[in-house]
Amino acid sequence: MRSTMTLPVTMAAMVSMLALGSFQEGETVVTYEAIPRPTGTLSGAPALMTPGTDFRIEASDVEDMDTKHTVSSSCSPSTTLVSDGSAGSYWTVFDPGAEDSVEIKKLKATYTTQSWNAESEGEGDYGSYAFTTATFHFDDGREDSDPRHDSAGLGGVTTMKIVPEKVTTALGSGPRCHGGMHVGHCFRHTVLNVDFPTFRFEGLKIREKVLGTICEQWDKESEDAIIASAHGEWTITGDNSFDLDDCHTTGEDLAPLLAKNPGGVALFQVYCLESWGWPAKNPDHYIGKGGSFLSGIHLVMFRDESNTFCRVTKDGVTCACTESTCPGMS
Amino acid sequence: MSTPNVICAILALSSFGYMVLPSCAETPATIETLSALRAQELTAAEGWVLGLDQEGNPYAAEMKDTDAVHATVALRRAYDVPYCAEYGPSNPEYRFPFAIEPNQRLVDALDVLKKNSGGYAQWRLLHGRVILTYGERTGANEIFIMDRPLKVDFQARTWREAIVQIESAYNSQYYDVPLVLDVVRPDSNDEVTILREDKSESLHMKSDVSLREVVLSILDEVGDPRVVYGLATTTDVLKRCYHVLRIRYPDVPAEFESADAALRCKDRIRAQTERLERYLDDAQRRRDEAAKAAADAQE
Repeated sequence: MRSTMTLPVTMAAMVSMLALGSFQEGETVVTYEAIPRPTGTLSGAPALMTPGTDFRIEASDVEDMDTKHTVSSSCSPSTTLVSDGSAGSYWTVFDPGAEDSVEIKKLKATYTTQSWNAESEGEGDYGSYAFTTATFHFDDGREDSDPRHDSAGLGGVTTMKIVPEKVTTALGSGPRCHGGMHVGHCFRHTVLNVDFPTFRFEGLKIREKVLGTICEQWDKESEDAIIASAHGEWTITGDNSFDLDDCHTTGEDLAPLLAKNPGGVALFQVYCLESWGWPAKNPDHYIGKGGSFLSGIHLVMFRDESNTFCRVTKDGVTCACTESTCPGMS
Repeated sequence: MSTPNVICAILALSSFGYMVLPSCAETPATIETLSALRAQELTAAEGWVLGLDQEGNPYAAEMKDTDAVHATVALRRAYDVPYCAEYGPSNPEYRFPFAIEPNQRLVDALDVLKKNSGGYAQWRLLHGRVILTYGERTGANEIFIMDRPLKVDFQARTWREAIVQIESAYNSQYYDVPLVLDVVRPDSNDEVTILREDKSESLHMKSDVSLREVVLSILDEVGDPRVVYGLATTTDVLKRCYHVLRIRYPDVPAEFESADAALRCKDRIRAQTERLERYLDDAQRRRDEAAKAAADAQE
């Protein structure tokens, strides 16, 4: 829509043109000013990223009006607003994890967010969230020397990428039996982002890593074997729990340590993000790392309480049993 | 005593073209493998200090530098070849910087390990396996246990028979720190034949080479390059020091697969503990006798 208006400053400019003699009879002089400022509405979705989706950004109702001044030989100046284009407009996306900011020369675009290094790029105590921001720069595509040239930042939109920052532990299925021997127990785990407790991490893949063991009589060869044999992988289900319990039992690697450590053997375990939309940028990072010395570390204690009963306690959770309840020897 | 000639340190290797060798642990490691295998990604060896405080609460602190176990773990993760790790004692734990760079050749990573550890870590390629030796030499006359010459002359049908005879041979020749052996198999059974059925029933071993060479020669007879050994120095409940050498078969599950396996493992460890008791007592007696003889000689 065009409108006509009178602008005193503009009038002064035309008067000066007349005075300089540049205006000849029969001619119409047209001048422009790059006002008013361009406008538009920005939107970005989703506000919280989920796997398999892209960050959708759109600048809508983008409008750039320029002021056109016309002075004809009849000396009847007029001022109108004329619509201009937006051919040079672009989005700049700043995404933690991406090597550089990305420029997208469209009003409407999709952007695939990247994984981020929780320790250097993540925010919060655990690096468990990061913000991807897209800012919209209006540009009509004209040369700088063109008085109609308009260029302005119209603002930005943001989406949040999150990963879990906590793994909770509860008693799971068990006991694990071999013959009449209680050789361990299983534990149920759930992932959680404390700030978004209802957010579903369904499909997230995680893997375990054993950092090491401690006990009074310790040997490096056993430790090496225990670390090397930790290969557990899980997928998070719709209720944010592991698809399977994590079972801790005695085996060939642990048995020699248990046999000579009546006080028990403590195993330090963590859970790493394997992939979930954003595959792990830093594979050594684990869920909950960074809060404190023990943040994100799960402690699994094994203790042979009798020849047929190995108690397993994880994060302070253990079964109520005090002896083997396993059915008789096979 | 000198290090046996059979140990061939790979000091200089020519360049080989880049190639990816999947699952090389199923085949013997060769000089070509060392040069051809390249790391897919950056693998930083981790370094953790773990412990329990006075109240029994655990603590964990991540260190910039790594230790012998985590350096081995990093190598295993990056290059799929058979490794035998020999962990000598280190108190306090020796730490050093170590990371495997993307596209780095195995041979270069091993050299970096040696260099960064200031020689605390050594490596060599023997019998199709990468042998990693960690430890500080405390004296000029000290010979690392795996380098010690060992006279053996025995026939063994089962692993149990073989390891008992190696232990006996070693512990009769050396009495400073006793040695026990263990064989870790998927079925937890060390009373099975060592050799495959298509070979003669018993293993005959007669040699006067290093303990390392004795063990590797037996592994050669087994015929599976994935079978490796590991050595550590540890203590029993009475804080008495001993060496444990474990021969490990591949595919041993982290959890016992049957009650029989669990029971066999318990029995095996019980038998090993009984043997160790004898070796420890005998070693102490002989040390006492040697000390007494030395004292008598001085008088």
